[in-house]
Amino acid sequence: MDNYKDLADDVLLDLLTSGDHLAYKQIYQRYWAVLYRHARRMISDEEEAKDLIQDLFTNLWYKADELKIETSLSSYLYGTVRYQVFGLIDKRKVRQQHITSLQKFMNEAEFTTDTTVRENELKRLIEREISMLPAKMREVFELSRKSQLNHREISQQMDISDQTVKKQIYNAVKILRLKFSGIGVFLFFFLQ
Amino acid sequence: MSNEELDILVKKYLDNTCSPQERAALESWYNKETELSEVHEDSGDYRKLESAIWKSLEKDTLPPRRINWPVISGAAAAVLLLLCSVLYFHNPQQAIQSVKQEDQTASRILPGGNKAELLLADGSIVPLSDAKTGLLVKQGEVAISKPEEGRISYQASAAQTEEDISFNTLKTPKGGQYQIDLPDGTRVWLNSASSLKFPTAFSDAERRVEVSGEVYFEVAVNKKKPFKVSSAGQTVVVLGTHFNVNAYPEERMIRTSLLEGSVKVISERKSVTIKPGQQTVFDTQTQETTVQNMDADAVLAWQKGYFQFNNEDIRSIMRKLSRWYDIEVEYSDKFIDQRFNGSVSRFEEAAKVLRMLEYTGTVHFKTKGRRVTVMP
Repeated sequence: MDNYKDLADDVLLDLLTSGDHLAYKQIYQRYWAVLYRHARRMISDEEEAKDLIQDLFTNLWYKADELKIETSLSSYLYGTVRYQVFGLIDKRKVRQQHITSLQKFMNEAEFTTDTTVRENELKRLIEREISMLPAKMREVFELSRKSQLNHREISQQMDISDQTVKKQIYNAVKILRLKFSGIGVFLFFFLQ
Repeated sequence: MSNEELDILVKKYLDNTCSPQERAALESWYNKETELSEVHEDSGDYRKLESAIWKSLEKDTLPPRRINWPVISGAAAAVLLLLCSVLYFHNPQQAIQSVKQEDQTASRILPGGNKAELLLADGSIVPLSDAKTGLLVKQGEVAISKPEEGRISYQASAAQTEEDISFNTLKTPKGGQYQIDLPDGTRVWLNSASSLKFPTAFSDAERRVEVSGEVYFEVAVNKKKPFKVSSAGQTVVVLGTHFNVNAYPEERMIRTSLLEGSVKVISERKSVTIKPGQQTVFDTQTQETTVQNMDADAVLAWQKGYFQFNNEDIRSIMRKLSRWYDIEVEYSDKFIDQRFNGSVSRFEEAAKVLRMLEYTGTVHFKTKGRRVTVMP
């Protein structure tokens, strides 16, 4: 659905936590490819990587109403894929060279204790996969970065507080859509 | 670091009991290793992979909720009625109370469910909704069973001669839906107020069925026997493929939407072959056929258990609701048509769906019993 392509991550996240399956699909379409390519760096088996992505998104749907994401949707997803790769490391389902490298690193290397630095680094690494994707897939991701309809934009446009926007997300997006498109297209969401 | 020490460390990371330093070390290594490792490429066919993964995700995250409400409400209504008459006879005062309760039940418009009946060649009718699972009927060499709620399956134990073949019709009422497996393995889903007429076994040359209403097919591949679907004014010829036919008598357009494979849509004036992602729109008034691109999600939403509206006008939306919820729709004089986008599960009560349309602020509904009036 075109409408959802315009929605920023934070808005999609809100909709997801309320059970909107189309928001879920949009999140999947936006992120699956970068997460998959990233996973394929450590996971040589295609089926294993496919399962990982599938598990990640299945859990996302079922945990949606419990999610309390402090940072952002992307940070959450990137952290989750890393967590799952460690799960495979635990089961020795990655190549030996990675295990060996990890052991060596733990013995010798220096590392940063700053969490934010590590997360930003991970984000950079995962997002650079974008440039390797076929054009159409890139579009979905890049468009979302340029999108106009995130919480801050909405609250600025409507002159109301951020908090109010979060609560009124449905009405707010509806009214904004009126402003953006001439025909008066209305969105309504599945409220649980 | 030994293998055992590593095992312990990774396990601590996974259950969140490691120290901040250990976490920092592991995550730093992770970034470094990611950067140094190459991507293991295989097919590189991302489109295919995206839909393959989505297919399983959809299956896991959109479970259709089967409600056995027909049994419950049917019985409840009968009991309520009985109670009503008995009480009135014995105590007029109490009767008023139970009538009030009946009104309340009537005003809750519950969603549709698995309801259908099977019309056999000899004219007998097999009600399917309340039937127990297992073998239902045996017609000569053909066994009809109900493997689960909402689905029947045809199996032929031996080859049929031309004389043996007879026609059966599967019919769903308003508020019904049903699935059937045909003798060749083709799977068919019927939406509300729809019917499928089919032979108990397919002849040697072709496989022919007739439909009205809305029916989704997953045709078993058989290159020697084309599958043909007829509906008012058109025939769809298929070799083995997934497509949806929407041919309600009250709708002006008959739409045939193709998801996978290849179909040829033949009407009196024109014959057109379409590709996946396309649909033919046959105008029953002008008899003209056009080809359009379609949104597969919107077309198949019903089969997956929800309504999806893409810039759809209220009248079209209300016709869909009317078939699923078995309601009557009226429009007030001042009513102006509007267009809507959105999706909602169709297993909610009608009141909920109507409320959501009302949230847009452009339409209001008044419900009395099973009649809904649409107002600005």
